[in-house]
Amino acid sequence: MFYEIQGVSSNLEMISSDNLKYDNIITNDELLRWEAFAFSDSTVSTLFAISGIVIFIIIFTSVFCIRNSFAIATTEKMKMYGMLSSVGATRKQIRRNVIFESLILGVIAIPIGILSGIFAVFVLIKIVNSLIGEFLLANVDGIIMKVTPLPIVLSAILSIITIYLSARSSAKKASKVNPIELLRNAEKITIKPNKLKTPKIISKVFKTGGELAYKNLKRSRKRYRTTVISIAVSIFVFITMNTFLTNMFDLADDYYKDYSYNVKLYVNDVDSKDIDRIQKLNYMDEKFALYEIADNFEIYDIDKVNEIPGQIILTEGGYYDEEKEEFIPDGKGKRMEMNIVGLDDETFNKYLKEIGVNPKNITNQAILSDQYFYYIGDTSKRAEKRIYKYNKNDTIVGKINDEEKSFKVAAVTDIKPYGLETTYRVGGDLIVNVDEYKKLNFEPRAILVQSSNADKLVEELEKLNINGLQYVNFDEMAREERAMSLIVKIFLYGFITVITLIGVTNIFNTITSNMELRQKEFASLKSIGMTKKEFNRMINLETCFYSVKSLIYGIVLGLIGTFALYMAFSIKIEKGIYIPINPIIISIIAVFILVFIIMKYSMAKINKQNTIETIRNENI
Amino acid sequence: MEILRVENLSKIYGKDEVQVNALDNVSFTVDEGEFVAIVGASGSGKSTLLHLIGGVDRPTSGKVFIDGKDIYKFNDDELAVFRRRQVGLIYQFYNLIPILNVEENITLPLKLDNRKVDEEKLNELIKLLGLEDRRKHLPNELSGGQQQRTSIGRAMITNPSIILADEPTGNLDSKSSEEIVKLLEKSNKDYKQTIIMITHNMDIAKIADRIIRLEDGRIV
Repeated sequence: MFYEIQGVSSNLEMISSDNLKYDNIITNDELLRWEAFAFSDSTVSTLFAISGIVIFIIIFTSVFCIRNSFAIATTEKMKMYGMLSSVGATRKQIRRNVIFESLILGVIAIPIGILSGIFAVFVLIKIVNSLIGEFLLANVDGIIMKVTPLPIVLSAILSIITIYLSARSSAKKASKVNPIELLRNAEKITIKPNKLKTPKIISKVFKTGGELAYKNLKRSRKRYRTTVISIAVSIFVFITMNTFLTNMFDLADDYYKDYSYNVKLYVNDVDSKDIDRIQKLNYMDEKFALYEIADNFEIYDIDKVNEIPGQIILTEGGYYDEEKEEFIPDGKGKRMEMNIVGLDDETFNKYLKEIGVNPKNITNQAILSDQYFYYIGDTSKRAEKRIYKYNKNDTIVGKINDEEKSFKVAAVTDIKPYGLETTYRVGGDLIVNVDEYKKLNFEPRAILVQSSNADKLVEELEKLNINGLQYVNFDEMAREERAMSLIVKIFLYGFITVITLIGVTNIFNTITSNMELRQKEFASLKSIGMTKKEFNRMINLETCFYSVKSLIYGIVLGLIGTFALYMAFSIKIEKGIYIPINPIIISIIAVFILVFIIMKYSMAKINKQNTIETIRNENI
Repeated sequence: MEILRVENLSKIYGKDEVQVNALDNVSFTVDEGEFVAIVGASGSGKSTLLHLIGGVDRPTSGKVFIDGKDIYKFNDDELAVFRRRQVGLIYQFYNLIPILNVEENITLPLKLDNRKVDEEKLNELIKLLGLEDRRKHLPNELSGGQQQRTSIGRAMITNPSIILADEPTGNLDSKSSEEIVKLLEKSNKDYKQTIIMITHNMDIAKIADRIIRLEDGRIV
């Protein structure tokens, strides 16, 4: 049975104050760790928030994309509308023409969109299942595809509204302009001259071509802005999500790598006979044993305890009177109970080596593992602190079952022994060699096994059917975690892909439609003596300016996002602050490759056109 | 002194049945400082001739020498450079760059050539064009006549060997047309600028030193 408890550590203290013993409570350390990093409430809500933002961005940008395409299509057909108008088509007829055209478009496009969406989900699920199938638990058959009508209906309605509104504004535009202007396909430049000022550095460095390119960016601010925003948003989402994923999962991966065992057996409720049976199993290749004493070690000198604000460190014995609804102390005052952990000779020596203490010098001494992690208030922020003021060579005096005991502290460390790596208990741990303290009445708590085949070992354990045995197979957990991370990654990167695709479509639309509108201008530039090389350079620069600007915005936003994630999770573990260099490099390269392709495409389109033909066409 | 020589120039559009001889073996010469008008009906090949002289198009056969240079021996890029230095083009629809203001449009050929703009000369030219108070305006803020004057300025700024004007008044009212013609005449007389102008309008053609009449791609 697992209880989901918020703020586990403080709950444990409450239980301890009711005079229960820690030994009877198994905290599922691995689950706790998951909660702390991956699926704590704040993580899940962050995941939801990110998904929400991403969906909003997708909707927003697709609406923009549809609108953009409509505007472009109308611009391309302006001439035709002019022609129609000049032979006597009324405004109403032209408007109806545009609306009808979009109606047909919607009738064809929406079902195709929905069907391809369902198909994409189908393919995605197939891929996910085939990738993670082997990792999943026996009782889960992978992800099941379920088509729900709500998103389909919603996206259809959204498309219809978008198409209708875009068509209406296009229709208005098409029907408003007078035939002559339409026939001449005159582009409306509404910008004020002072807005076209070019920084000196641009004209200095990039010469006339660069100046023209820079000014071109500003000719249609709205479209330019859309393009920059859509690329910047893709970059931002990419970088931020990358941080999110890296911290959430890679941390977990690293964590397992650090373990020097892959199966943990909780044996505190298991008979010693059964423990012997377990020891004899196959695949018990390397074992570390962890013991604890049945009774508590109550220290005399509670002044040695650091009080931590907001945390109950010192406890009081007593009982809860249900009738009076209050806690009745036993009158013995506040006290502090230390946990005494025993390791067998081999494990103890290994532990000493790990914390950098020479085993020869410390016979009959104890190691104080003193580090306490806790949540600050109700937040998910974690803090760490030492509990005791004891130092090396101090002697801790106290009693176990009314019998006085003292331990000399050989070292104080924040490194935990095997099996307790993620357990932070209020009493701290005093670690001794079991063989040296035989009188202490140690009981086995856990056996940690580095097995060559953890799955087989677990299988054999199951066959023994031992009462009270609980175990964790870390190999399996790592697999599950990897599967989980893979699923989340696929979906998040899927989001990024969709946003990027929309961004790409937008740039594509913007650039190609700009080319269309500027044909005449290009022709006149060529006719007054711009060489092909200069011309290509101008277009290249124009696209480069786009990319650089989007990259700057995107990367800055991404860094802010990354920082925000750090603030939200207060992740400061081992790695220190993580600067998302890889995603930044990837986005820079991706943007430039992308922009390069678009450039090549539009260049091919422009260079195909004959200067003279264009000028002739325009001079009707 | 001869500045332009056109030798047996022919241009054929299309093939076989749809073949059109836009220009059929045309030859003539123009001297420095001459003002030549080319007249002819629509489809007579006058625009084709002008574009071939300007080097924006290449002929099917024949040669054009400007300042003694066979311009079709240049490749496209060399031709573009030659064009921006030696040829000024004026179009019926001005073809100004919409994002550049008057001053920038005029100086564009110089800037493309990475040459310094001679401020004194620019001021003089702008004064001549009557665009002093329109220097920083964008083309869309100008009237048709002002736009055409800007494009004349753009053609003249480089001191080209020759200015080619394709129906420069074709899109203007009579008052603006008169201004443009006067401007061309002035640049011809005062600056010894060689000009070849296409027009429909015989009244305008009359101010030229010589009129070349085209019919079905031939000089008549």
